[in-house]
Amino acid sequence: MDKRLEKALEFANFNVTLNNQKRILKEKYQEDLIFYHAGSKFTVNSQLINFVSHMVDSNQDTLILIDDNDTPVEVNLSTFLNEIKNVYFTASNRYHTQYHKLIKNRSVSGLLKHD
Amino acid sequence: MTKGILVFAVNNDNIDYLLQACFVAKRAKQFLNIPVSLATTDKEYFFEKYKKYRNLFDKIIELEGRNTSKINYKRYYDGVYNYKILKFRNKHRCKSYEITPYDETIVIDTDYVINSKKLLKVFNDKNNFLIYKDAVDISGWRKDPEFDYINDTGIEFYWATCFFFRKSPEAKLFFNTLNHVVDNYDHYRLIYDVGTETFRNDHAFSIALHILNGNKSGNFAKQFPGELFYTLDRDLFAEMEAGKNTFLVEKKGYIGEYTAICTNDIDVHVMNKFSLNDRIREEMINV
Repeated sequence: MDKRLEKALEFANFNVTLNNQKRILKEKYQEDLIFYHAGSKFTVNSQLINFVSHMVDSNQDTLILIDDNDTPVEVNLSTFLNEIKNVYFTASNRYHTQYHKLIKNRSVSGLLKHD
Repeated sequence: MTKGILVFAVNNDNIDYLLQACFVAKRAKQFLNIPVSLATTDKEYFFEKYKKYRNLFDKIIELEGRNTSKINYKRYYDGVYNYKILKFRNKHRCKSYEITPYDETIVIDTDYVINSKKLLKVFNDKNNFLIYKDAVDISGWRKDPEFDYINDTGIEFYWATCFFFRKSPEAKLFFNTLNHVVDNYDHYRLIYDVGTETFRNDHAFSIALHILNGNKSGNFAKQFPGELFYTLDRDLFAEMEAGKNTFLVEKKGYIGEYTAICTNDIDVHVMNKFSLNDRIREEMINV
């Protein structure tokens, strides 16, 4: 096979694998953002953190939030804010670290070996 | 409240579901540290062949119906080209509520590979019945509509692969309905236009949930946390380490070729039973 074509195919294979691994990392990140509070399920995101933080700044102690199952739940804001920030930072840091480890690889076998 | 996992294993001529159940128990101990009970029609065979794995289980529950229940046949693929048509018996799952030794139970298929602590999250949920509706095919390109709706004009599809229930009137109501659907499955499969005579727990669960939602889509069952990751039986399970798996996934547009995909710290439902058992045999040698 022509060397140039062989290289192109090798790159295509590498690219497919890289994109697959990126997708799997992102799915895992979404799972890591799931958080339970008082029996209710929340998917933590920047919007939730921002809203809760704003309510804390407005001197609110408790708040009614709607969880992922569309159930209203009363939360104590000071503890809730710390918990969701913790979930967000832990998950995001992990995603960031793994993503950068992944993209440093230059071969298919390297992509599959990364932790 | 007592917590635990319940697995059902009924062997057929080619596939050793009992071995898979032993592996589930091993992984549950390793990642979740909660007890696992085994429900099987093959208790005698288990003690004959897998006595050394007895300690992995909390309780061994004997099921009836090894020789009397209706036999299903299904095509089991092992990669893109190879398949066998084999018997399988899978109607016992509707008995989960009555046989579980736990107040809070996770029921999982024996081909659900535990690689993380994710399942523990369900015990924090105040809802009494959780099941997956959404799932992720790790190939990234396949989109099988049969996993969204049970047919083109049919009801929503729920996965019986992995679900959670807490002993409660609500869960009891669900299992009563499910038992009714299973007992009258030939009637319901025609009403719901399931299309195949082969009994699938996914379909029976979906029908029971549709009935309980007032014969429409609804939220009687709440979503199991996260999404169910799966590989089809057309894929191969290439390597397995604790928490990390490598799959050879059917390649888009190239029949018989595969792309390698690695998962880390993600539980995966592995449908290729042959490939799964090969990996499990390797891992169980030192147990």
